[in-house]
Amino acid sequence: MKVSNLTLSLIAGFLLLFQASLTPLLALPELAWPMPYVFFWLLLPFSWPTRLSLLLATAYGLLLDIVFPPPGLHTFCGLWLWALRKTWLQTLHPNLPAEWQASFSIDQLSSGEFLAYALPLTFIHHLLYFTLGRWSLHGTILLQALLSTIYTFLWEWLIFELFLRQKYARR
Amino acid sequence: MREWLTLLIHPTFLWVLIQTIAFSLYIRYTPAVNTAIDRVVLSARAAFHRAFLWVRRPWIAMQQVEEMTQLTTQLNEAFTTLQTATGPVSYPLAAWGDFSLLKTYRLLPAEALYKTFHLRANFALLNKGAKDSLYPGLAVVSPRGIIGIIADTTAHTSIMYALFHKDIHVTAILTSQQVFGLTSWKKPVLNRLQLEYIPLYVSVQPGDEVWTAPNSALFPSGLRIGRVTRVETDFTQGFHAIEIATFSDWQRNEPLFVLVPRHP
Repeated sequence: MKVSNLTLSLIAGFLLLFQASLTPLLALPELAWPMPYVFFWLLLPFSWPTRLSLLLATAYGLLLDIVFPPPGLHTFCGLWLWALRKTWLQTLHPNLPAEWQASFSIDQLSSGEFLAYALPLTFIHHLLYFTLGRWSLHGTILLQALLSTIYTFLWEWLIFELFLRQKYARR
Repeated sequence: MREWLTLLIHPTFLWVLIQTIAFSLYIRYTPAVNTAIDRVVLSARAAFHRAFLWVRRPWIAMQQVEEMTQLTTQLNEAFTTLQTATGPVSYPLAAWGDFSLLKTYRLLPAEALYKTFHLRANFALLNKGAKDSLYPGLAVVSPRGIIGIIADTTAHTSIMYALFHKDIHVTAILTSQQVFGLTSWKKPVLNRLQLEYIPLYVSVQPGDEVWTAPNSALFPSGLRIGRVTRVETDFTQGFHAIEIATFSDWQRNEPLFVLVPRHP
């Protein structure tokens, strides 16, 4: 079973709503910000044609850019995530069959596999986002990126466990 | 054609294209990034001009020797006048109309690495920066009169906006009449400024000196700006249209001094 289009749309809508309404309330000022919207880029099915997937990833990024300034930053960081996820997944699972993309879906991952897949990618996104957003890289920025990654991942994991992970998922 | 089209819609090419657009958009609308890029460009420009400065240095030195000789002659004349005068004497000594300034300001010598001459917002790149205790807002004078104001600094360089900049206005005083006005650079002619808001009832004569006013926000008071060269009366405006020739010459390579306040 793969993540259906309806599920994907609902999750995208929920993530946007979350970012608009809950993030300001849940943020720990100057310390950590939950940004679970990055989950959408991780969730996009690998079975889709690359161009369609790229188009959707860009559209989602642009939507975020329009609603949450600064413009361009969400798309830029999000598309890095989108580009790296396939390589990262192949690195984590070197023995995947040749046609794995046609049958693979995120909801087949176990909790541990999801952590190994999502946490580093979320950190890369946050590191890029905070570094470019502040246009500086020092200890505080690294700490904020790290804490925000953990905070964001908690929400991603919650959504994954509650709505996505199949009961018969491996391992 | 088909091959080009295939290349254009290749996911990698599309990804790079979208990323470039997104990043450009981000840079375009983010002041911090713009400032950082400006500083990198400024540093690169400063390094370039600093490298070529040593080529021009002998000519600059000769020019400065000539200016120093002239200044010495002027000082000797002024000193002679002072010795032979029976009453109080005022004489145009360098940039300072009011010597009390010297007590409160430190004069930091600086050199213009680069100057613009063709813009409506002319500026110069100085070889002193934040590490020499410069910061935006400091006045810059030449030995003859005021020349500009520090607008931005990096560690080792600064941008000085010239008086011949469309956005630089200095509150000035017409010394003969003790009337306040405002300088502007409406006509893009170098070494010429307009003195505005001098009422029609004030008698202004060509040759009158214009100094910075005590209420000037940019410059300390009593610095010499220029001399009135032309007075036109426009009754529809209600003010004189006054043109002044600045004492400092933007087209010459004059020594520059930044006025750094002395803190108690």
